[in-house]
Amino acid sequence: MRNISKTFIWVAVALAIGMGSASMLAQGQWGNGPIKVAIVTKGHNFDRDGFFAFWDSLGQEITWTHLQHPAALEFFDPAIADTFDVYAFFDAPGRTATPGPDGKPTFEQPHRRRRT
Amino acid sequence: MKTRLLKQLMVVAVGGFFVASAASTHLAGQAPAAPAPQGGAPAARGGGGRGGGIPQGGRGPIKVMVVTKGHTYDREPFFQMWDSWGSDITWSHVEHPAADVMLSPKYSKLFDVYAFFDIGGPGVGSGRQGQPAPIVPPGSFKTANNRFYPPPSEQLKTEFPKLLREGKGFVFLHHASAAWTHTWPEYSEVVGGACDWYAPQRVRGIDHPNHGYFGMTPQFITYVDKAHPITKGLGDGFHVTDEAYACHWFEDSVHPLARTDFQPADPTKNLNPKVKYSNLAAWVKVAENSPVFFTQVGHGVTAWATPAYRQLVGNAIKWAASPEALAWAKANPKRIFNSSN
Repeated sequence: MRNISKTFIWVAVALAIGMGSASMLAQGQWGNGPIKVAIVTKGHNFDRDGFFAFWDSLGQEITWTHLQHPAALEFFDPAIADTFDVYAFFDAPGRTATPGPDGKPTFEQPHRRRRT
Repeated sequence: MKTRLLKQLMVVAVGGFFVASAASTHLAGQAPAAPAPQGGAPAARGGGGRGGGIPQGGRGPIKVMVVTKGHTYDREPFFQMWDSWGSDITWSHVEHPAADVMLSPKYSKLFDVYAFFDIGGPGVGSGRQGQPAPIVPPGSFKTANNRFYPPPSEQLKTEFPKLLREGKGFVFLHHASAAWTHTWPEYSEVVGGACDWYAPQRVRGIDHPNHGYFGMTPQFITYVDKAHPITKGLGDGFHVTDEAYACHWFEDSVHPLARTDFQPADPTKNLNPKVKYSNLAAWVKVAENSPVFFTQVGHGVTAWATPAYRQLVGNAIKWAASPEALAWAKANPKRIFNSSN
């Protein structure tokens, strides 16, 4: 009998953990918080579901927008940069090689906006 | 003791996983993710795609901007579909509101094709009892059932028509037909139809009840123009289980490519009787000087993982970027926006 009671307690703990996860998920995609965040990626593969679920978990504080290169670099412009409050980088630009006519790889160069 | 503790830990792990995954599936409202497609798909974890495989985002010659937001979706299988075209396209994901900035001739050298799986200007309800009131964007249109729809930014309203006049490829998928429905009727003319499943609406001067959506509906999609570059060589059509719609499609403004055999039981529940239910499933058209493709198919993973669906949309992207499609659009321009835009 005691064992059954203990099992019920553990099941309750499991449900609590599960509901906690569900609560996190219930915040929905992109969040609805006041801080506007641009999340910049590209140049390195990543686990997209897990990564975006992490950002969703911050959804009470932030509203996030995924923004990949090369479009992301255009926002390195004071004229449009205020679209977001925070720019978060999980990118690795400059690592993508394009085979040249001689077969040798050439790598993308830093964008003029990032330079200036 | 150890055995009992181990059993208890297993209960916690399995129970927690069960509840979390059940909640996840329920909240997403979609089927679980499909396994990664065989061949050609990049690894989900690690690496930068420099090991000889195609990296996430592809590395093909056609540069595509993929626009989302406004409607939740099952992200990884959606992105895997885009990666599956990675030898033909290089795609970049740009969400609203960044997309609204990029849809301008100022940035058009970056992309050949703009692909939409978004709902621009999605509505928000008036909130549930006991919950904080939703933030209603200023200038929103209020519907009869108290939903609020924000208008497009002045920048987007000004720049998007210019981009269309420049001549670019445009691909719209599934719920992208619901973008800006209440606040920017010209946008629906660009797509070739209008939807809103959550509020009554006026389309082309006709008042409709909420449009219809019918989840996980088995359908056969029949190609009605098998000679078009998008459908040529694809056979008679394909079976798919996907969300079907009863929306106001503009039959008189599009060139049909495919039709569904789905028929709603009572179309008048979702459409004004003045508008006959249209079973269009895919079409091409011209907007200003740009070629446009739309397909109603593509809600979730059951469509995205269907090889025939991937062939259809993959061909549409290649067609939209082709000199032939751009020349066709320029030879058959369709003015939608007034000249002040």
